[in-house]
Amino acid sequence: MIKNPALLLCSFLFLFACKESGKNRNFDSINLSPVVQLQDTLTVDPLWSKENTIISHLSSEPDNLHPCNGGSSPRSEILIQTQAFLLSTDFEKQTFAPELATSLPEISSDGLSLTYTLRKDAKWDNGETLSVSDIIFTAKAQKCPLTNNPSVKAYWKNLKTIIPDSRDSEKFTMIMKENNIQNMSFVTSFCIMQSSFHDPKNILNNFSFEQFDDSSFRPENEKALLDWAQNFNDDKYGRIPEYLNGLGAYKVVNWEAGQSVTIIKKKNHWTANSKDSRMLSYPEKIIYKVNKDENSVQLEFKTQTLDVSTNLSMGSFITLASNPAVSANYHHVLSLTYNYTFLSFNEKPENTKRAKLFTDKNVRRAFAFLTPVDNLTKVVYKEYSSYCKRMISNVSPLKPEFNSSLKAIELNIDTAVLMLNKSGWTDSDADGILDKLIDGIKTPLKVELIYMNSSPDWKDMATLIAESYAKAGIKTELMPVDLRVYMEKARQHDFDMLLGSWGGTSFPEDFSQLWHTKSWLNNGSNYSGFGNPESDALIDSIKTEINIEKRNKMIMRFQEMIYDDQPYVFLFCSMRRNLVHKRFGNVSLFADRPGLLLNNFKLLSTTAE
Amino acid sequence: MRSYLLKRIIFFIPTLLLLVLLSFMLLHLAPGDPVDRMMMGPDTQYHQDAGEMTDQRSYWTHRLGLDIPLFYLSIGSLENPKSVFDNKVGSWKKFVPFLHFHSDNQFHRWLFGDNLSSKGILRGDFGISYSSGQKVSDLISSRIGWSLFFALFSVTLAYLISLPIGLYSVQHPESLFSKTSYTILILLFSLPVFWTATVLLMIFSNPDMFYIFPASGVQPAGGFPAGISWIQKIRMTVPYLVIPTICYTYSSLAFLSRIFRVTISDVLKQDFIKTARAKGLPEKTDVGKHAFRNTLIPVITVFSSAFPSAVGGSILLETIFSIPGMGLTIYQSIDAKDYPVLIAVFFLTGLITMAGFLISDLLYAVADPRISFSKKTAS
Amino acid sequence: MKTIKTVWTALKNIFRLKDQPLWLRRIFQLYIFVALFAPVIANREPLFMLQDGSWSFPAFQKSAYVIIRDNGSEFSMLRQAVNWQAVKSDVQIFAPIPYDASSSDLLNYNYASPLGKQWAIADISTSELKPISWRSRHWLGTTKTGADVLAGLIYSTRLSLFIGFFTILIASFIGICIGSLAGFFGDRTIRVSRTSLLISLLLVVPAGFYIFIIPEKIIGPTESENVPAYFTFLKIILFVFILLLPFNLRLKKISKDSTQKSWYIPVDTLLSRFIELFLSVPRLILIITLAAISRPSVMSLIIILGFTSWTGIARMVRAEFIRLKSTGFIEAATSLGLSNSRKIFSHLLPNAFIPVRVGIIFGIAGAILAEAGLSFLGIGLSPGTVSWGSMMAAGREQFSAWWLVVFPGLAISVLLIILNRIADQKNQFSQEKLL
Repeated sequence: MIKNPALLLCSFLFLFACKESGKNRNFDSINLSPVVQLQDTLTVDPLWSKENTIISHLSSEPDNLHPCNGGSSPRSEILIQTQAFLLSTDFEKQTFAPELATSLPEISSDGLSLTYTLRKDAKWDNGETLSVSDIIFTAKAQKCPLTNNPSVKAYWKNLKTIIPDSRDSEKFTMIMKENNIQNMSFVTSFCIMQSSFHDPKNILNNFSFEQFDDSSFRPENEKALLDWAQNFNDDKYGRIPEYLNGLGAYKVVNWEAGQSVTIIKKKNHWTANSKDSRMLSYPEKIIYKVNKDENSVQLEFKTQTLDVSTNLSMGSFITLASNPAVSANYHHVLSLTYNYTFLSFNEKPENTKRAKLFTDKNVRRAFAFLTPVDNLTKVVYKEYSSYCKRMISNVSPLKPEFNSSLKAIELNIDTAVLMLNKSGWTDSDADGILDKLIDGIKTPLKVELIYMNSSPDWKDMATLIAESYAKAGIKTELMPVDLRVYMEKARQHDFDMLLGSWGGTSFPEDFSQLWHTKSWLNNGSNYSGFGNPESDALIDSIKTEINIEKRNKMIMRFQEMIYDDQPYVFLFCSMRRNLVHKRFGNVSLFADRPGLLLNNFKLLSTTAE
Repeated sequence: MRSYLLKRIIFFIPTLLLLVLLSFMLLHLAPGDPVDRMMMGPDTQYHQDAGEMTDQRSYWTHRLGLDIPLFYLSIGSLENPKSVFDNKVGSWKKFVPFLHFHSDNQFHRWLFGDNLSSKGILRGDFGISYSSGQKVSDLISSRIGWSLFFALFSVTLAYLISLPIGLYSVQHPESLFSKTSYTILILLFSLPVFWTATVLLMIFSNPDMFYIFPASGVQPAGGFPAGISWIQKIRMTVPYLVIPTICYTYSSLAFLSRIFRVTISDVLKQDFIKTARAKGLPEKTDVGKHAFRNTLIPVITVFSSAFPSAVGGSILLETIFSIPGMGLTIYQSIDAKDYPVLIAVFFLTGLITMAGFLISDLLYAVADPRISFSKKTAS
Repeated sequence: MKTIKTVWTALKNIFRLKDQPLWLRRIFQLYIFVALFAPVIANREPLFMLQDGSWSFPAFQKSAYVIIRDNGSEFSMLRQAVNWQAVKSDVQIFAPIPYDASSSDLLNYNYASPLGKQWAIADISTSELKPISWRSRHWLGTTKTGADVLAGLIYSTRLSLFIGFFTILIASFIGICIGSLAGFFGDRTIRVSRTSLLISLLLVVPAGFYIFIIPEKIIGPTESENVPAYFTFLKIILFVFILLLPFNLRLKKISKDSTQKSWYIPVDTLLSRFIELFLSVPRLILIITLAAISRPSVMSLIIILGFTSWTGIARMVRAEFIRLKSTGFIEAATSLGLSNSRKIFSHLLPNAFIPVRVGIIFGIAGAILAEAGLSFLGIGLSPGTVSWGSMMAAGREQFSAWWLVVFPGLAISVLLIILNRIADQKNQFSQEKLL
């Protein structure tokens, strides 16, 4: 009686399991160049939907769509379509390209003045033309102390003022405080807001950039500014479609909380006749659908209720790629990115209660010999792991400035144990765990490894790492934490080791964010504590060097420094999992986030073009 | 009875206030700083020097009112309360306990609002969420509908299904139906809800198997087509709700039918039933009525425990089905240490729980007239 | 000794195994057996090894290093690093399942099916593979990292039973205490004099100050973090004790001044509101917040779950007590001159037990499932620990790996079916017998 239902369930699932294990792996789905142009399908299936609508998968909801006050990546994805920026990125040529400006800015010889000319044909939704006052308003709003944008305000700190040209009404100059290679690139992240929409009474005109930079300025005493900020920060400007305003080719018409965001193409938009192919928008409607559950996403692809995703897990990707019905309807491509995964040590646990386990560079190197990177890629990328590139130092092997003379560190437990013994770590009490006298106290080599609990891949990697370390006498305690706790611990250096990943772009990186000692002192992104005066100086010269050859040489030297110091065990380069419905053509995949531009997708018609 | 009711309702307010005070304390005890979390942003998209953010941090701490004391009263020494932790050589005053009064404190601001952004709960303003900048009342009202719906609907459905099963099992204890139904319900109960949810999805939302229900969400993506009546809207929504409802309901079925069966059979064996039968009262009506009333006590107890979870939602199911409910919101707010949202959630849950308890205590009295809450002479 | 005997009798009465059919007893005993003897049933290390004439029991030794003899020479190796299958020996007896719960097996990683091909090393030097032998086969398949599912099941039986049982022990203890106090004493039974109440109130500030604030000040903020956690618990007990002192001193005899200057303490109302307060905090928030403070270990999980699940039992006990009070047999007992505690323990509690028993049995299941849910969310037990819940959560990732879900699911459901059959048995202390 009892056994029967169980048996029934078993056999049912068995049947179901057999169906799923098709051995139809399509190995053409790997393309290892930084920009991939997908082949348009030759035969359009008449059963495919003929609507010029893209349903794109979001793995989480945007925090808000406010043009200034927000920061999540779904928000950035959507804002690319609904807003416009002074400069944008040409992912294929891997350069900056002008969007609202007519060309790249003229930069003065000291690097502190950047002069832009605005295009004349950009029009807001109410018919007004884009003007320099909108640029000035955007900058002032971002810098205003009362604005609710704490996570990005620091990016604007380097801007001193903006001076409009007295003769040419479309020209203006940004004056920066310091020379920095990001003086031009930072404008690609911030969209331009309409001053007459967000500040109809021109209140910000009465305040200067210097005032906002002045730490003694008390904005709470200015009633007009307070009222303006209260209104500007109001959530309606980030959520309710009528209050979402932008220069982009699309506008938001609907946001179902927790479910989907719908944008439609504006009629007669100023980009319609653009000569720049990236600015052309073909889909009439784009629906961003939120779905956090992998199994549910798989089902949606099987039933064709989703068109595009770049957020799939590896498991889902493989399951869908091997399903013949799905691969008949979708391109499935693994594309390269500049992102990479790493294990960071805490080199400088001062001011924390952490033990000084990793202050010795040989100990760090020993751990690198103990980390089973190949097994990690196997578990994460499964049968595609052979395509996964190893990360050797802090620059991705896809970049021209990659230092190929540095060799990967292979798994070798015996070498590692020898190195540890030489550094003073021995098992003096025969309890199976290495120990050492640090500051007179016998300290066991117990390592707490922190990782994010967002994806099961992290857990599997951490488990394998812990197992490998145990073979050398190291006890690893695994601690999964939420994203924010993770960030807190990382920035405050409250960890022994942590597992993480960094995103990368095709652009020249400013290494000071991750590797300058300033970034450790200020609780920034330099989690490990790497750095000395020599490396700091090198970083600063890289930042200001314009000549590409000289800069690449310096970057290679920098990679050597990092390789020697071993602040991280560099693991592997991440690959993005892309699924795109075959009914769309003109699809390019590129390494930078977000990986593809939805507005360029053309709906293929059944008649041959 | 009326005085009892009045007394209970009056008790609501101080209990609620106590609850909010306790939640303030609990939230502040937990590690992590909301301003830090807020400034990090929900993504690791922007790396930046946190050092330049120290003045930002102190500004925001001050602006959100997180640097003032929690409550009107605090225990400290006769000296300035902050200096208790100073190890400087101080006067004897440091060792004398004293109750300090703070007129401006976080609790006060929650009640009456700061003069900047919120008007205080006494004027109906729950404040503004730290992480999304939305008004808390808007945030909660947009999400709570679905949580309430699923919680209450599934409880009612569970009762409606388990009562007949329990009754039938009592009347025909040896039948095939009793034995198998119970076994199946136990099987169902023992499977974790996140797993059954996935199984049901894979079977009924899968084009490889039976494609009857959609895989996620509570309504068609991209909204409803324009200009349809609300009846049609309901009809279009129903397929999205079937599988989630099943998942919310099935786990309580086993427990409830067990409770019904045990208490009904127990009551039926009691003396007063024998008396009623001996008196010749018709079985179904009068005996049934007597029996029914007595089984209600534990049943009512269980029913009122459904209320607290109505606000909290079920984060497991909401994640799997992409239901825009409170569960995920709460989980994210804990992570972000979003105090206004969490305090509002505590407040609402407290309110609904206490209302549920009150209703259940009243129902006790209705079900069993021997139970009375009116004042008796001391026994 | 006598307490152990009473506890054992109480357990026997709860579980009443003698009245169950044979198959049920056997399966239940199987569970207990597996839980107790897990390391003998499934173990990576050999139970017995004979090398060059010297014998050892590697699986039962606790030492971190083991002595390996190879070609006449011997050396010691870290236990974790030894590959037992490769060690040359005359006799090696392995456990029936030669794996433990979480070690990876990268030859059979990525969800090897129990019915499909599995691989082992044919030759260490060439890394050639051969089909795995029957002895070393993963009978119920493997997980993503290649850990054996059957071994995982065995060890998690031990863990889940432990968690379920102890959680409900804590929860029912607290629940029965509070529920019976609330139901029995009601609102108008306990009296205290007003002066004691006043004195107690006045003591709050000084007691709080001297117990909680001053010690930290004296030790200093950095040192006070090294003080173990249970000190806070002791401080709380001391605080409560001091607050209760005035009542014990009986400054004014209550019995003489019966109507003046004394107040009833509304025990029921206070406890009910307390229960409500507790219930008002959504359980998940409490668990997540508590889990963020301390790294979740098995003990802390049990305490957290136990402290958050007692409310249901408390309410049921209270409801039953209220109902029973109205039946009148309490008055009969009072007239007989029975003391309060006799009334509670010998008469009320056994009767209130009927619905509570159901609650307890389902509570065990609930605790196991709660742990499963927490594993799914990523909070909960330390990641290396294998439990039924963590296996099922992992099984969701790869749906075609049905063995990861079916077998733990079966284990849970069979246990629950047994528990429910046990719950079915009529309590011998049922009301009809007493009356």
